[in-house]
Amino acid sequence: MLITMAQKVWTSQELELMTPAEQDSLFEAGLVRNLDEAPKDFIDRVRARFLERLERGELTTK
Amino acid sequence: MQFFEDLDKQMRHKRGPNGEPSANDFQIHDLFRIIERFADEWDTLPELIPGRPDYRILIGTGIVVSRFAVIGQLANDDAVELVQLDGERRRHRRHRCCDSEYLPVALIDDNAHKAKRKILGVPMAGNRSALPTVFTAYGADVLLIAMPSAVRVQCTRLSRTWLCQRSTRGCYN
Repeated sequence: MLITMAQKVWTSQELELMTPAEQDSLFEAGLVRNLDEAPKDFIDRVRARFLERLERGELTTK
Repeated sequence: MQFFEDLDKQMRHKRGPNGEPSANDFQIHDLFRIIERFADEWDTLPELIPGRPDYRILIGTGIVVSRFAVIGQLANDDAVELVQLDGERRRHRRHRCCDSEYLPVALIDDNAHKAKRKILGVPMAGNRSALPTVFTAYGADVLLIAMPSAVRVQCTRLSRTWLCQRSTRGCYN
């Protein structure tokens, strides 16, 4: 599961030494496109905060 | 812009003392890639709320954050606005926990495969026969016994016969 894996801890200085392509690969490798593959507690927390804000009228369908 | 309020709250303004990324680093390394994905892959991104295709979510480990979830909203003009960020900063590993007064200086393990290795920079001093030398060699003054499988007798024996005599502060298990 991508979200819970422990990746290397990149410092800002290390990132600046990476090429854009290397950074692209790193970013792409970490994406999760199926919610079932993400930690449920994280998704639940995100969804709950979103619904609260939607209910408070902070997000309106344009 | 709620998204940038989230960003300001969740990311540090300046880089940390150990190179921990700032909000600006997140924008440079992660955010523009997130925006690209929302622009290019909107139709394939999962709906956060089933039946509400106007809100979609992108999740990942990110480059400078341990994980993020960004919610995008599709407007009538087909523009996508980012409306929520839930991010967690990557934690740089430190030997000393910020909430603890203890600093690990050596590890003891009977597993021969771990000999001469380091875990998070802390040296493996050997098996339990090495205990008497650890206190002097590494300047340890406390022993923490982390042996979930050990029975009470083993813990007591370890602490009484080997450790407490040499420790100035005690044994904990």
